[in-house]
Amino acid sequence: MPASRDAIEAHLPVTPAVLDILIAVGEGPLHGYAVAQAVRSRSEGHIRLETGPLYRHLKRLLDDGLVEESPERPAESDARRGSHYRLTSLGLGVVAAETRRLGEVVALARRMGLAAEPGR
Amino acid sequence: MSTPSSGPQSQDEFWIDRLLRLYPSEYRERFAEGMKEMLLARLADARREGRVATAVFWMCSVRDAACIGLSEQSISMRTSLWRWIASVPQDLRYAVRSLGSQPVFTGMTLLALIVGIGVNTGLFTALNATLFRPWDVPDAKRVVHLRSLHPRVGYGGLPIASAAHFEANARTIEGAFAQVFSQMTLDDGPAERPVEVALVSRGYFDILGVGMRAGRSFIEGEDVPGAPAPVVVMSHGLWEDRYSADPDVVGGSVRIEGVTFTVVGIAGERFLGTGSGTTDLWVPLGSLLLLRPTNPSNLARLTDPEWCCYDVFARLSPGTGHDQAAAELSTLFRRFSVGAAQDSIGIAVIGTALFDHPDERPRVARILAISLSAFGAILLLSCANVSNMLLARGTARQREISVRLAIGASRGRVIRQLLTESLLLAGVAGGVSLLLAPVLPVLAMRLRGQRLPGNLDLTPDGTVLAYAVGISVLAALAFGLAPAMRSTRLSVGENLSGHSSRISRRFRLEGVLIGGQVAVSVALLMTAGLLLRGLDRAASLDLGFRTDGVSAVSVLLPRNRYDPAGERAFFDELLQRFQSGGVQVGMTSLVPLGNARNFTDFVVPGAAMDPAPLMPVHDVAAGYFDVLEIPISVGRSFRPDDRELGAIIVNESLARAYWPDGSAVSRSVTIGDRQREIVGVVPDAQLDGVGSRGPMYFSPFTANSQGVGVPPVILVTSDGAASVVAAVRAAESDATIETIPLSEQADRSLGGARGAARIAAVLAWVALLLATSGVYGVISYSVEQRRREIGTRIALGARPREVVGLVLRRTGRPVAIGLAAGLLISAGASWALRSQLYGLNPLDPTAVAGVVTILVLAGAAACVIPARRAVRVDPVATLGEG
Repeated sequence: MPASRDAIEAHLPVTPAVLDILIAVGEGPLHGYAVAQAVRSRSEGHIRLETGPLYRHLKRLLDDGLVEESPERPAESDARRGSHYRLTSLGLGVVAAETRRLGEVVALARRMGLAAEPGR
Repeated sequence: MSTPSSGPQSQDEFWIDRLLRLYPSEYRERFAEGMKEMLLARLADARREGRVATAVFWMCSVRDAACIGLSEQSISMRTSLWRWIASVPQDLRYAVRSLGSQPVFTGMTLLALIVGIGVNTGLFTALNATLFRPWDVPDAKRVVHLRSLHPRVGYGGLPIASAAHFEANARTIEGAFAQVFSQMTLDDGPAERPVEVALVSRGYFDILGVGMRAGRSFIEGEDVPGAPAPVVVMSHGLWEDRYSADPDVVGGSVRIEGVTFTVVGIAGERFLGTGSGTTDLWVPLGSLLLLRPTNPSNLARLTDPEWCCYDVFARLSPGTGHDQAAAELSTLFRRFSVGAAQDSIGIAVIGTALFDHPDERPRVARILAISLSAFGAILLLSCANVSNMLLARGTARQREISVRLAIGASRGRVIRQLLTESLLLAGVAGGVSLLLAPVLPVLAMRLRGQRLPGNLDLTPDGTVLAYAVGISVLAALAFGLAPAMRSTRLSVGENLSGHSSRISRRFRLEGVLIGGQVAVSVALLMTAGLLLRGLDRAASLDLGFRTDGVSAVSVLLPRNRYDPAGERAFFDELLQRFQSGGVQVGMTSLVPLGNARNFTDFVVPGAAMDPAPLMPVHDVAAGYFDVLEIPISVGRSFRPDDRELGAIIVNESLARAYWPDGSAVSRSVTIGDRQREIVGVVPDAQLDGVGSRGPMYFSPFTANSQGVGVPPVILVTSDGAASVVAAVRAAESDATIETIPLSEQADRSLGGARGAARIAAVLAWVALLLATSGVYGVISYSVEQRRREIGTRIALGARPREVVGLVLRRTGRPVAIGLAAGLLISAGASWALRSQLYGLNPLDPTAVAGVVTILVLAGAAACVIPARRAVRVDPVATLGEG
């Protein structure tokens, strides 16, 4: 069931690293290493999440209810033993809200002529 | 991807596992697998990139593990701390219920613990009150004792006049006072009663901060040496006892030593004075001239900067440390009392508690060590006892504990629960002990045949409370931890079925505890036995002089009627009268076997002794050696003119030490600033106490050579004592005369040792009782546990003797080992206490025989009932129990 607005807003704003993790996890149940790889490839190698910080974030997200352990494994996974994680509805709501907020910020910056050209 | 356990990989895994250990266990449970996989993958990537990347990987991983791991630890500790705090009430409720359901067990453990903890708390209360507590005055820590430190003699007093000088000129102190104590007589209607009088500086009560119950303390102008004021402050105790707290006493007058004084105030209720006993009256130091008018040196005594030595105290200014005050006062002292300060290193600033006095510390430390060890041993004994009981009870509760473990309680949680029970037991025992603590020292003193000094405050204070809490907690851990860990360790399957094959380890612990209890009891019994035998021996030792049939008559002349010269004349005349009358008497200023001592320098020309030793000396006159039957081995005894000639007699130890060739007679030595000649040598005699030995010399007796108020003692054979007393009375009807047979004096001098032996004996009996009940409990319990086995054996035809042997064999070994260990410990103890044994053989047969007998009887008592119960086990019934 969709999470309430208040519950979502309680988690805003979200730090960039956490947002990256949430987006990566949103793809489907991933284990820790896969999340890190996803984030890295998406940012073309610029964002490297180390094990310690990654799992610390994961723990917080798990405790806060934005992410949950998933019993199912994606078929093509190479049978890693570690737990797989996926977004909860709360997590989905938070990602949506945050991206919307960021979009509004970008639009505002563009209107004021401050925004950098995309693609750099 | 499965990871083959090839060399490098498994090494990496090993180190990664180690790193992950820095994270808390719950964290690891959730994430360790994923993290390990990720770390290994990253490591593989890094390896592909090269050595630098690998090194960077390891460094970052270690850093992450350290920082994140430890911060997570502290977060998880905070939550688990909350959880723990929340679980305490639940644990307590459970513990209360659990202990309450077994009243006999709980009662017995409480008893054992109260004995162990109570005895120790009582001891500590006594030690605290006598050794560690400063005077009972406001802000007591700032009141200090001022002493002059001398290189050879140690700590000494100061001139009375220095108190006023320090007060006027020092910034590090707020005030200073001197105090002198004396026994005087208070006019009590028809009779006179002896009272303890303190002569103090005017500011005494103000400096100490002691309030008055009525009236006032001394004011300016009442302590001027040249113009003494007859004012007195009365103690609250005396006011209530003697004057029924009559308010009219204040402002009225009393007669002290026949002199009229006005009572200006009554001291506060709780103030008992600052002497070793309770003070009844305080007068200004200046009134010494009123109370002792015939002594011409009293004015000088009060005002001369050089007239030493007395007790001076001060209150430190706020924020001043002892060292600061010592430095300033030393400088003042050196300028004020040039002569007296000459060989002084400086002023030492010492607290008022007994333990603060550096001279006292070695003696006190020794007493502390011995008493704490003995009493501590009792506590260990009770802990061992209780531990055994808990072990036994643990097996009974095994099912309950195993179920809890099986349904998911962590081992730590169950151990915490069990420890809560132990802490509850120890806590209750500790509380009861605190209630008993003030009573025990009083009982102990009665055992010694003495009463407690009056100004001892035995009410528990913060220190005693902290001590009681401390040893209760330690005891709880000591007796509770091992059984708790033991009951939670055995595997679940064994416990649920109620039987266990791996019982050997539990029995070993039990055996150690039993062995320990036996060892302690044996050691205490042997020590007590040896001490008592030592006393017996001391009572019949040849002291080197005659004690039975000799009496010591001490003569105290009324002090306001005789000045020093008059006193000397009185006794000289008395002696002459005795001699011409043919009565054999001796005279001395130190009662043989008394507590008083006197020392002087003793410089032998040519003998290199650095520093020159202090030599004990006894002043003796006339027939001293004859009455005490001390023969003169070389030379001669004293003659009447020896006082002027300065002759001395030495004992054989001294003669041997300096002139081993035996030529002591007619040698010359320097004592003080006088040349003295040795005229005779006597054999060693233990005049300074039973067991005392060493060099000593004798000087011709001069009355009053020891200073004011030390009564000379006339030694005479007991049948002549009455006529001596009559003769003294005839010469001075108001003399205070006291007669003691020397045999009683010998007895008294052993009083301390006797008290210690009695206390040791009590401790030994307590230990024996605890150990016997411990052994009884263990054997009894094992009989219960092995009923089936015993029943089976009896059914198979085992004879009673075999059954008994079976039951006793297991306990037999630890008991035997305990016996051996106990004997070893007592051998060590008797060596440490050898000075108290008066030459007794440490393996004294009587003591050993006595102790063995007691142990055999105790052992029999412990075994008999369980053994009989074992033999009477009904095989049919037990086999039927299946």
